[in-house]
Amino acid sequence: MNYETLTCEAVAQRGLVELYVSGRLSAERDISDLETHLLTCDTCREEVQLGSVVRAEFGAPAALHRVRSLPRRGHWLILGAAAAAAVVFVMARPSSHDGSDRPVVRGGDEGMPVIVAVSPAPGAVVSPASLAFVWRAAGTGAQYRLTVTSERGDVVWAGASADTLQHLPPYAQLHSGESYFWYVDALLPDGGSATSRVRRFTMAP
Amino acid sequence: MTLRAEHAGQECGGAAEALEHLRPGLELLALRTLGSADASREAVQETLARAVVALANGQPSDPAKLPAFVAGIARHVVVDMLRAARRVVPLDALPAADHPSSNTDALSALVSAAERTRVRDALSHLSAPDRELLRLCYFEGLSPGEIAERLGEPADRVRKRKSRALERLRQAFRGKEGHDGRPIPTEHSGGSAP
Repeated sequence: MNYETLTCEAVAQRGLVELYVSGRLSAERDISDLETHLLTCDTCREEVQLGSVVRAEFGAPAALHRVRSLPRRGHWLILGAAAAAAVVFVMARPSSHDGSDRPVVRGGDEGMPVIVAVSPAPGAVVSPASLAFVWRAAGTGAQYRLTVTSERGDVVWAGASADTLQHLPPYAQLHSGESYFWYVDALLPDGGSATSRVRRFTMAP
Repeated sequence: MTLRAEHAGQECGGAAEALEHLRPGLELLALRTLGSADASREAVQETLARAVVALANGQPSDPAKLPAFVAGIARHVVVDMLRAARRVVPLDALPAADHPSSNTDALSALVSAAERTRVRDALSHLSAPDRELLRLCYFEGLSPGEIAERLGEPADRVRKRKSRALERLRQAFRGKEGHDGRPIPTEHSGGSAP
């Protein structure tokens, strides 16, 4: 296979290091080109190292391999949302929309199909032992990404899964008495995407 | 040792030296997929061994393609190792805590504990907007151009902010930063552009 030689300028222009570190560079060709570039470019390789520290600082590690195995047909958008400046990011609608005219229920201003978030219910006070995130399936074969943020919008956990139930790992500690936001994004097998509304919950004191 | 064998040995030694500068990048490549520092070191060693043999056989014909050629070998080695691991025990059958990619961010293993501490410290001293900028870059995976679109700022300004923030982290990473606890000046906090 013949891989193109990337330049640092091209890497920066396309945001390849950002995509790579965040686990969202999914095209094998792009990964191969970038990793070949990283073999000989100390500067870009160092940026990967720094970026990985930054990424780890802003949330527990997501399932890197699962995320990057998803087809990247769009990109994640940042949307201002919810109280206290909770940061919401959702997957953009794919450019290769299948063109079907089936009705969709809109999730909000973002204009994406909605995922029904089940638990924790809005405003619920939950104990660590009972904390489980549950939502209704968006369809067969959907891949989900759960994000939990603090009231300030800092991501305290983000993880990908095919399940509609997720528990936080022990190291993603939530503090008693503090409120958090959670939401789910989904990538559908047909390339479409869906998102839940942002829900708030509080850890029991 | 015959003269020919000695000559071959010298050639291999030269080839190994020529390949050594690729090692850090190969470790990154292997680590991303294998998720384990030990496994990635093994993969890199095997890759370099195969590359030395290939070089001795006159491959690749174009020296400029050596990095891509070696990267290709590394991918084969990594795939072989993954296949071998699956033959032993399916990854899905492992308890979540044992899964190589679920406990730690694979790429973060590229950074030593001391380096990580320094970078985290430098990160904490960035201004809030610059921390958010880096979060958008490396956690959300947005390019400066995409961030500029979201924030409604000129792309050049976002790139400059990112570059300056990243430079502070680089200095800390290399152990050259002796921060004094003051917030790092940025365009948002009144600092001037270089």
